[in-house]
Amino acid sequence: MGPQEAHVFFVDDEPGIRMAAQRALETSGMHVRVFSSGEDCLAGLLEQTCDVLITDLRMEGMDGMSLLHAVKSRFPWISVIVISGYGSIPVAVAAMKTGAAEFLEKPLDRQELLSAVSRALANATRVGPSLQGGLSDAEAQVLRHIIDGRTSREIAHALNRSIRTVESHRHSVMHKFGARNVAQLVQRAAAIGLSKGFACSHPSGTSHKDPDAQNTDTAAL
Amino acid sequence: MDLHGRIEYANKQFLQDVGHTAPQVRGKTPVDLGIIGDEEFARLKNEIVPRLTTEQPLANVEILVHRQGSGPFRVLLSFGLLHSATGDLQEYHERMQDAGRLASLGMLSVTLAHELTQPLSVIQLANQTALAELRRLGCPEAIKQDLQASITACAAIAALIGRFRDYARQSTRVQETEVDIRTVAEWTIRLLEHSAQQAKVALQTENLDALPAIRMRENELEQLFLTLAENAVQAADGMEDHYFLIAGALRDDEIELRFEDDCGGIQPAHLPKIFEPSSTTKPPGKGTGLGLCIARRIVRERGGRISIQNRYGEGATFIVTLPRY
Repeated sequence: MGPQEAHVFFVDDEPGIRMAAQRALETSGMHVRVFSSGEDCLAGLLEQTCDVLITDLRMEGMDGMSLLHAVKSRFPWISVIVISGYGSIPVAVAAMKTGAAEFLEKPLDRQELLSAVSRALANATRVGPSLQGGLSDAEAQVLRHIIDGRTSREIAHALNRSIRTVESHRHSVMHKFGARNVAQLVQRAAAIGLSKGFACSHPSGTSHKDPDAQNTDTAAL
Repeated sequence: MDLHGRIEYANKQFLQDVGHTAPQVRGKTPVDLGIIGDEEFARLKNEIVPRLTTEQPLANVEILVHRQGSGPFRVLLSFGLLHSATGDLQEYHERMQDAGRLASLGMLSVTLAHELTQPLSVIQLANQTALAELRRLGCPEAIKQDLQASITACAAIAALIGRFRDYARQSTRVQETEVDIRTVAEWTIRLLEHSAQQAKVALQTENLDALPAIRMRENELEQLFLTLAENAVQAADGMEDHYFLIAGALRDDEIELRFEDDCGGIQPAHLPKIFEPSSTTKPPGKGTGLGLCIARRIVRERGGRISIQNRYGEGATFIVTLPRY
C-alpha cells in the first residue's frame, strides 16, 4: 500500500503537535485524522478505516501504552507507531513487546515520520467491512487461543467461561473474518499477520486488563 | 563533610557507588577511602569550599571520582555549605534544604530536556513541511534557504538537548536499586523537619512498612517525595496546625501512594495546568515551577500515573500509582 491511499490516525494531547503532524503527513498525500485522546481514537476506529496509527506515549487519561495494547488486541491488523520523548530503552522495549511496529523519538522529524509510516504501511493489511468495528475483547481472546491451536474446551477452561460462550465468540469471529471453518479462520488471520503467539503481553506482565477501566474516581490532570 | 573533608553523613546511593558501608566512611575523608585523588581534594579544599559563603552557599563542581572495582568517572557534584560560622541550627536546616533542591539539578535538566522537545517538534515539523511544500510549488531560493537554516538550527537544538539529557542522567547516577519506600519517606521528613515545624505542618506516614521494595532510581523517588512534601509545607500559613501524610497501599501489582494534606488546596483556576512546566503559584524567586512537572515525569517514566484530588479551601491529595515491577 502506498502513502497515497493510506489512512493514518494520529493521537497526541497537544494541539500544536497534532496540527504540525497532520500537515506533515497530508502533504505527502495521506488521509489523516487527529485525536486528542486515546478514548476518542478508539471511538474513531469504530467508524473509519485506519491503516497506521501513530500515538504519543505520554498523554493524560488513557496513555499511549494502554491505547497500543487496546488496538493490538481489538484491531490487530493496524500497524501502530509510538512516539516518546523520554528516550529511555526500557520504554522502547516495552512498547515493541506490546506490538508497536515502530518507535519514534521526539523532537519529531518529518523525514523520520514519513519513513516510519512507509515501513509500517508495507506491513499493514486492509481488512473487509465485516472487521471494520474490530473485535471485542472477548473475541480477541478467543481468537488468540484458536490460533494457538486450542480446542473450545481448553479455551473455556483457560478463560473460565462456559463452552457455549466460547463457541458463541468463535462463531462471531468466524463471521467477521468470513471464514467457513476454523482452518479458514486461522488462514485468514495469518494473512493479516496474526499467527501463533501474536498475543502481546500487557506491559505490566500480568494478564490483559481492560484498558478502558478508570482506576481513579477523579480525573487525572 | 566537615571542613577537613571528613564524612559525617552519606546516603545509600553514595555508599553503593563507592562500595562502602556507613560506619566505614564516617570520619574518613574521600581521599582516605580512595574516592578522589589528592589533587582533586586539594582543589576542593583550597578553591571551591572557601568560595562558599552564607550568601552564596552552593556551587556545582565537575570532579573525577573513583569507584570500587571500576575506573574513574566524572560527576557533577553539588556543594552546599551547611554550617555557617556560628553553627546556627536553623541555618543548618535551611542549607540542607537548599542542597536538596540543588541536587535535583540533574532531575531538572532531564525534565527540561524532555519538555523542550515538545515545542521543538512543532517548530521542526512545521519548517520541514513548509520547505517541502515550497519546493513542490516553487518559490525564490532565498526563502528556501531561510527555512533550511531554521531546520538546521532545530537539529542543533535537538542534539544539544540529547547531550544535556544524557549528561544529566549520567551525573545523577542512574543505577536502579531495590528502594525501600519507608526509608525514602523518613529521609524526606528529616530533611523538611525544621521548615515543617515552622509552618506547623505535622509530617506523617501510614502503612509504608507494609509495602514491598520498588526497583527504581532512589534519587528519583526522593525527588518525588520531596517535591510533594515541600509544596504542602510551603502552602501552609504557619498559623494553625496542619498535616501532611504519606500513605501507602499495595493493590495487585501496583503500589499506590497517597500524599494528603490540609494546607488549603489548589485554586480551581490553577488546577488544569498544575503539572505543566513553569506553572507555579509561589511568589517570584521561590521555586522553578518545575516541581510537579518533574514529579510527573518521574512517575510516568516508571510506568505509573499521578493525579490530584483537590479540595479547595481545605487541602489536596496527590495519588501516585507505580507498577511494582
